[in-house]
Amino acid sequence: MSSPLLSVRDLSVAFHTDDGVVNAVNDISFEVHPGETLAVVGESGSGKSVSAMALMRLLPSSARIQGTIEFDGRDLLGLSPRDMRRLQGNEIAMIFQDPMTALNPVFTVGNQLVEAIRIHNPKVSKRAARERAASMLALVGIPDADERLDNYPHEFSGGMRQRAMIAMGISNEPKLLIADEPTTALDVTIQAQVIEVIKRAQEATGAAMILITHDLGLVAGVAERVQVMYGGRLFETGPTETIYYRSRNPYTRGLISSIPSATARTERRLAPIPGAPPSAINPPKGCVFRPRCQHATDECFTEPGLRRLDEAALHQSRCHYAEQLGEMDTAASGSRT
Amino acid sequence: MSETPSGMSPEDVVDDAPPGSIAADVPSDAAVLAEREGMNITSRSFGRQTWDRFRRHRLALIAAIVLALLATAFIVGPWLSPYGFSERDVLNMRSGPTAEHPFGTDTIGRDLMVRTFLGGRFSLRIALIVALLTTLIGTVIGAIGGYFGGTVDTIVNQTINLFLIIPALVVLLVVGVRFAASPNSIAFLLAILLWPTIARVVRGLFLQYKEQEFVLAAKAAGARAPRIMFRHILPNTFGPIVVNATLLIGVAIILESTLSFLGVGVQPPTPTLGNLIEESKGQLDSKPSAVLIPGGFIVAITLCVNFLGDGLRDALDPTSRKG
Repeated sequence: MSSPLLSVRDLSVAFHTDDGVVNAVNDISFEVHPGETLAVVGESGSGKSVSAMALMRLLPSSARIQGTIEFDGRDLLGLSPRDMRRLQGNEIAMIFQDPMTALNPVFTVGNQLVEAIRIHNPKVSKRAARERAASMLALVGIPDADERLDNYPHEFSGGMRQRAMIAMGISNEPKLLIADEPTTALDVTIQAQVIEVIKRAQEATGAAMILITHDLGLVAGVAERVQVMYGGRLFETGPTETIYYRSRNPYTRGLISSIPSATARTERRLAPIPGAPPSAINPPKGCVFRPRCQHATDECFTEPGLRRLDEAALHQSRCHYAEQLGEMDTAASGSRT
Repeated sequence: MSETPSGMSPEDVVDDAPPGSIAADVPSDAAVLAEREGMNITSRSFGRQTWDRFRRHRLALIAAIVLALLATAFIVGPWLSPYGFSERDVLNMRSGPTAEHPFGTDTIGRDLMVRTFLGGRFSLRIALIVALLTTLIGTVIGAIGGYFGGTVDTIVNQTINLFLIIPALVVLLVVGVRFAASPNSIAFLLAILLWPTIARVVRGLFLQYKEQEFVLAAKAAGARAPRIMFRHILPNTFGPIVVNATLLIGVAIILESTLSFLGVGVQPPTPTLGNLIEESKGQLDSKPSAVLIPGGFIVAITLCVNFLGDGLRDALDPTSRKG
């Protein structure tokens, strides 16, 4: 495998609040290779967005960040603000969750696309930048792109705005694209299209992508690898196939059985995970998933580490029973109490 | 769970929606077609849209025309008039409106029409300078406080509060006596006292807009703080700023008139609308026109400016659907 584009080592993010220290992200490590797509899955408060914001250095100054983030041979946390700005939007670009507010309402879409291009390439003429903006809009599937450039964001539908955000994200051909819940704010019917557009845009530019989502179902056709986060910790990581069919983590399995299926032959009730996500100020003792886990034993009062489940450490799971879980899978749900 | 008449429960509807896992199968051309349908793609320039919206606001349009006419009269009138502003017509002292002197004359025989127009000119000039200065100072200070927050904002906010609790009239009375008083210095004094009104509005807007995702998006695109403040956030605040600036024109005219009326404003023989009322205040019974005419101009300007501000607020908001 080629050398990684992005290498995150022992990243921790903490916020000091009046109620105590919020440990939003705890010791996560991962890599992203050029051109590949990594999906980061987890529910609200799992730390997935915070770690992405840490990559982009967009966290407020009250955040305490530890660990190292190496991007393309550079230490991102050590860069001066000036050098960081040179990377932002140029080599690393971000697509945001809510296209309704991520575009400035008082400027035309074209205006904002042109600015995104020219902020990093001041020598590009306005006309050339506009042409490039139009071709970007066309690439993300907006018809009459040249006319559309003169529209204001409120004249776009939600799906079109997200397409425009994607166009903006790839307009400088970044090496890494971070998509933070890009479909959450959209209608279900539009989500599939937008994911398709993101994939097409990614292929057109050859960018690597971190796709952050709480919807494990969205990930299947898009990502090569999946990383499941819970309570600010990495719970399981592995190739998408492995995670879907041979997950070795009770939390991941819970996520999978809560995906609605259109093809299930027998009628089955969705299996939600009982309980609520852990508090980041007072996490449960031992394994943070213990209070909600149906396999929990006394051993789970000590926190498990990430266990390697294959030679290359592609598949790792944070569970004392990661190895045994595989057997339980074939023994069917009868053993679950 | 309530059933719909057709017997379809909400769960059925959810099940019909395509799950994300077959995302790749959806042809994107269908998406394009679906979104294209029913969308008009004629686009108008910002100026054009603003004008279209402004035009609909009839009151604002009338106010703008009246203001333009008044300003023209104030500028051109004294120049066309056969009388100088301190020239005395001793044969027609204390006259009411006549053909020779449409607004009458004052106690020493000066033509009140030329003095009213000239007074309007000074009053309007003072008000415009005040509006410009307060907007400039208030916007910059308010933007800095609202955007950076923290200690910076505390300092800005406390300064704003300090200025807001200063009783403007008392300060003006005291200071006005010392710096007796050209139109420009009065304007400057008023601006120093009135900028917090704008600063407070701008600070509030910046506090609100800096949390918007487009600001985060701009940061993620590598934009620096000044660029985000003045290029990305500021244009969003134009509407309220313009409204408040126009309202301040009204406030400035009234404050200036008050000062002149109290004798610490612009000093005679330079006329302002307030001066004129002060000079004629004894004649309210015998010759009310001498007070009512300049008073009427003050009312007309203030009203028009408020209507204009109202219309501009709607017109300058590109998300307004009124156009």
